[in-house]
Amino acid sequence: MKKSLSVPIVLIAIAMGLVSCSSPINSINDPHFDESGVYLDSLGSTFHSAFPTSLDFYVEVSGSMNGFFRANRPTAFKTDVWAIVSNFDNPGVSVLSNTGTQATKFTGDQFRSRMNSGGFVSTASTQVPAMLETILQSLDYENGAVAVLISDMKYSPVGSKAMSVLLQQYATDIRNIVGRFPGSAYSIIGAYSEYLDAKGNIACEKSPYYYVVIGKDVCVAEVRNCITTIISDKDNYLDNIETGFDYKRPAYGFGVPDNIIQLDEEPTFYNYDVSYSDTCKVVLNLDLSDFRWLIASDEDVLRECLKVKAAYGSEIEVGKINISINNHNQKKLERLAVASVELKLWNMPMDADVIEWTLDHPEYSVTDTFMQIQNAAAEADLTGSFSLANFIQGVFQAVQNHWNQEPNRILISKSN
Amino acid sequence: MKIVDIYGWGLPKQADFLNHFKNNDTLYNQARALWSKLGSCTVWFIVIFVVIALVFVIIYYGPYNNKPGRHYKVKHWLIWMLITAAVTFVITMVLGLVMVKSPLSARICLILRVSGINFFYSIGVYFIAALLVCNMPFLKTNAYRFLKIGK
Repeated sequence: MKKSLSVPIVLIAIAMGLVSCSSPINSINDPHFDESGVYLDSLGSTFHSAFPTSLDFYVEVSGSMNGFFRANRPTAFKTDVWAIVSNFDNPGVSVLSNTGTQATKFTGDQFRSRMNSGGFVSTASTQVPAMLETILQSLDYENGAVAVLISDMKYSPVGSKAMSVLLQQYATDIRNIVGRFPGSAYSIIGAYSEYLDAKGNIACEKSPYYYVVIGKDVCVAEVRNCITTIISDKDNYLDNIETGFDYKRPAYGFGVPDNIIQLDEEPTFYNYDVSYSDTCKVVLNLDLSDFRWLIASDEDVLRECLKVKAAYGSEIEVGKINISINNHNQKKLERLAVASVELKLWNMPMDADVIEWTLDHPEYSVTDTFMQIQNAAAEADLTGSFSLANFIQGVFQAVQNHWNQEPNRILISKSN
Repeated sequence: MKIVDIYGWGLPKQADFLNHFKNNDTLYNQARALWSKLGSCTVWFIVIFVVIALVFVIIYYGPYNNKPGRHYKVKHWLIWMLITAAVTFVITMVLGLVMVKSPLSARICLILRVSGINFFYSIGVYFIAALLVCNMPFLKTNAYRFLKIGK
């Protein structure tokens, strides 16, 4: 045999081995990607709002609401309520009376007429548990029906001798009622309005009241976005908290990266060149349109909710965040909120790494404004909402928010 | 082919190896990647000891013994076998360090073990190849066929 052929054959075989061992994009053989960098995990469903199949408004007309309903006096309450009700093709408004156990339905125009003329000024008590039960019993939320309760949420069982005891048990009562309707979601939207005294003078410039949106989570999200947009367009928006949602995964895409190239539509980037720059950047575009507005309106909250880590030891940090919000997307009442998040990666110890990221959701007590308002000391405090904290506690004890906590993954590779 | 199919007797069990890093997610992921990378290069580790052993057998029974006046017996055969094993060890070590990259220091230990195993496998291939050459009359060689079976 000639030795002249055997040596080149050996060299070629070894060179092929070198190439085959170093060329795949997934050179670290991460189990969530195949060899060529295609993501293997199921992406899972994302959270998208859906229009309700039916929408009912309920307005509470107890004595504590009188300041919003004064006859022939303009208030932000009247303006905003009418703007919201009429936005949904005048679905009709039910007025809750008889301690909340009876609902009298008016057409939109009838309601407006009585509201403007002070027809709802009363001395009735506010029985929130009864109101809630009345609404939930007739709400077919599993088939997409949504109810909106408009109230100042001040629990005041007038005339009751056991008032202090009832207040202590209020949270539990709410929990028990809500707990009988599993799968229901709740979004509490706070708004401000002037509160007028009996003579029509302004007693409080910014007195809070609420839209409590109840239904299936995707439908509640749609109505929440519409109502919040209308209120915030008039600068009367306070805040919003919600529970009972299954936020699943956020929808996301990618922007233009730096020092890496995206592989088709995959969450995979290759050609990271450390000789060009020691850092590479991925721009993650998160669709926050249908989540609680706090995440998109406060960058610090988003940073707190977004968790990122590099699975194989690279250094990583969240860089610049640019949040783009348009509540009138395509010139209609449609919210589009996208956060472009810069993920910077450097000091990669291996030939590739995997960024694992998750978007958590904030607890309801995050905002100071809401904390101050919900903890009003007495019903007479027009700047706050007496007993609202108990209501929120009860609802949150009955139903909680969930989301998919399995991390999303992005493969970054030095292979080219 | 998994690395344990051929090298399992000289390497730790994968579970035992990974357990050393279970308290740190990042190190665990790096260790898993290292083991997987080692496994993906198994075929080439095998190619190394097979090819090097065959090449040295060919050289010993061919050009080395065909020089005028040479008819080497056992002593030279053994020296060539040791040279084969040593070259296999070194080349496996070098190529292993080139092909299998990891920040973990355990990488060097694993590649040393694979190189050591290849040392013995190359001796085996060298012996089998020599046995074949010694017992196949149509393979011409001037070397002493001391491994010939029968007369």
